[in-house]
Amino acid sequence: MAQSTFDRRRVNGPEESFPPVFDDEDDGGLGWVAMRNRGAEDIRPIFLQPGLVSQANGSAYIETENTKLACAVYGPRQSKTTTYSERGRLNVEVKFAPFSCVRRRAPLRDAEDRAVAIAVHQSIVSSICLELFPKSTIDVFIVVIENDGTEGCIASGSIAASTALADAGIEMLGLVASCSASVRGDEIRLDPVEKEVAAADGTVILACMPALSSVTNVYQSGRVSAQGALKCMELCQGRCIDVHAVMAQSLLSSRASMP
Amino acid sequence: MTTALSKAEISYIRSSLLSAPPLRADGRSPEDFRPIAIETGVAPLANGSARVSIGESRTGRETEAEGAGGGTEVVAAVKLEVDGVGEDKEGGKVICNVSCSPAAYPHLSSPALDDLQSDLTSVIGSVLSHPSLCPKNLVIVPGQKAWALRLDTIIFADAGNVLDCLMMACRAALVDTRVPSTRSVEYRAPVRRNEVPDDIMDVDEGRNGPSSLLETREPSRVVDFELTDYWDEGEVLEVRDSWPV
Repeated sequence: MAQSTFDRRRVNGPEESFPPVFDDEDDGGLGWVAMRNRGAEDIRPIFLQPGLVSQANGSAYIETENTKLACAVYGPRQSKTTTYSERGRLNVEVKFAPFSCVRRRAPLRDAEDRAVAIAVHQSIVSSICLELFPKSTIDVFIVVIENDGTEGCIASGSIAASTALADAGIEMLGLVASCSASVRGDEIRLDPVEKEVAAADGTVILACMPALSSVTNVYQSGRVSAQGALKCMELCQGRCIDVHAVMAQSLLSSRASMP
Repeated sequence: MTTALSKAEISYIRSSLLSAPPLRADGRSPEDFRPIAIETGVAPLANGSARVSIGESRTGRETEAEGAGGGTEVVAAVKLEVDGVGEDKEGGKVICNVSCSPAAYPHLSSPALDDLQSDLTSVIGSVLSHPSLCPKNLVIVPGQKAWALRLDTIIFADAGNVLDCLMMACRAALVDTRVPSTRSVEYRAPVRRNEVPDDIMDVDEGRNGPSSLLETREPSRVVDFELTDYWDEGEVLEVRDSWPV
């Protein structure tokens, strides 16, 4: 066994260890066929709480069934780089907790962290008025506590990030809501979980600003027909209006309960 | 991305694009492509390779003196490696990697270059490594050995539209790939069957056996894909102000 990189800062587990193998899980396509406990066009109920991290300028915690993540916003603060930039910068960093996935993830940054960070960045960057913050940086830190599919993380991350930015009082054009969909054949299901994504042909993630009826990010991967992709986008946009209402409600109630 | 634009240049480009009809700096209409040059078989040691350049690069030497540079140039090459697989997997996988030559992005620092490389790798990887696209004839011995197709691309120059160039180069390299034909061999000896771990003997005998070819390439196209879908899959809409005008 090759000597793994010795991480002195943490208590390392045994060098060779394997996650337990569960007996019942291998259902293949059955993950799709099995009845969801909600309709094909229903999303999982969202619990969204802004203002959880007291030392950050703004924060939000979002929980939808098995996807849980926390987002903290610091900023606008001075850019460390010396180059002058007229527009502010938005920096999104995503970290998956080691216990967030079925198999333990090493606490190092890897490609999936960056992919989620870029998708969230793309979703929210057009909603922030960056021209008002020259020479400044807004940092958004997302920690994924429980991961049930990358698409769910990206969608929930965008929602949490937008809520945290509003909680921090940063000027924005609108709140960004996001929804994902998976396609198998002709059937479209919104807000898929990891099993459904693995059994699907393709997925679409859409982020939009319902207040302005404008789309900020569309990400489609896998085998989806053009018609199917457009239909997914329409369904997601409809759902995003509902998500937007949830976000607005949670921000209003957190402000109302502040002294 | 390649050049820093001053505000005057940005407003010049923007106002020409917003005029009716939209004007671009090199006179193209908004839907015109620059001339594309594709060559396959550029890397003799690879199982398949291709070079794609958009816009003049080799032939138009006199234009290289201009600030905007020649064109976008990408080379893609495919190497096949024998890999063991678990019993339940189909076997065969496509692994993509994009690397950016520092010469193509002279203004980017090293960590920024690494980030760009991993971004492009994940975009191309999410399109091409999708399990539904995995070609069936990458399997050698079902359940044990299969080819791992490593598709490596290098960006030599970037004058915009590098994603299109990458996709074209990858697709051309995959079309150019020839998979060596193999024959799996069984041992007729008393105890052994194909499940012996030192299976590597099987594959070699398949290729170098008396009746099979010593040269491992066949002229027929062995790799089977649905190629027409590549352009549309995995769309990532990104706001890129740096595309050429």
